Amino acid sequence: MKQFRFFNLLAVAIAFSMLLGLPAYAGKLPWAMLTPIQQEALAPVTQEWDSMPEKQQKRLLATTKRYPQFTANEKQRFLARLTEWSKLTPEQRDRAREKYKALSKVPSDKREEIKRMVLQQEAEKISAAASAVENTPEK
Amino acid sequence: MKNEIDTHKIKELLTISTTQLTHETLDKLRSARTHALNHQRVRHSVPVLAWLGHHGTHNNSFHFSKPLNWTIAAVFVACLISGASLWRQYSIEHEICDVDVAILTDDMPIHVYLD
Repeated sequence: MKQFRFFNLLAVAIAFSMLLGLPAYAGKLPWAMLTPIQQEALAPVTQEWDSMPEKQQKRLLATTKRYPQFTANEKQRFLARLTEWSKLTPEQRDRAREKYKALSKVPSDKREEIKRMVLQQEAEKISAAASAVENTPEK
Repeated sequence: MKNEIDTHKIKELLTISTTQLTHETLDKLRSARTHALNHQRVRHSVPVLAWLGHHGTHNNSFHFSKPLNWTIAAVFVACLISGASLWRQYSIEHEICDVDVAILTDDMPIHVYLD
């Protein structure tokens, strides 16, 4: 009987540890604990890293797993956009993801057309800003 | 002459003769009994899941107690639920990672996806 009681307690303990322990399998990771590749990929957010929520840290770390496979151009974009991305609120990031997914469902020819239009607008904005700077009279 | 022997006398005679058996014969009888019992236990095997509802009827055979069976079943179900939940969470995070990487490396600037 004592043996059965022991096994009962053991089984209950295992069940509880699985149910309660699994969600807390990891915590926040300090900057110093990151690997050199992770630190390179997340360099733009060095200052904010330790104060970032755990969930955001995990998601950014997940993206860095693919960092070594990025092309030079992709690495450049990734690093340039990381600061802006990490400053967004979780809701803004969620909405951006939803929009990206919605755009992915658009037929490829239309998607390319949208991309071309957006990139053209971006180029026009940049050139307009540049000409505005050039035309500003010096004091 | 009286040839009739009653049952009490037969029992007495058998008891007396049993005490006179040699060790070798007793050992053979014991091993034959054990063999017979083992053979009987094999014949009494039950279907795989029958143990879950029947407990305590075979005190000498290998059976767990009822609460332990239910606890093991509960642990099994808990493991299944935890596993399914973890797998679902992993799939969601994997998908989010794909989208994040795409947003951060795609041609389109981030603000296109913002309000």
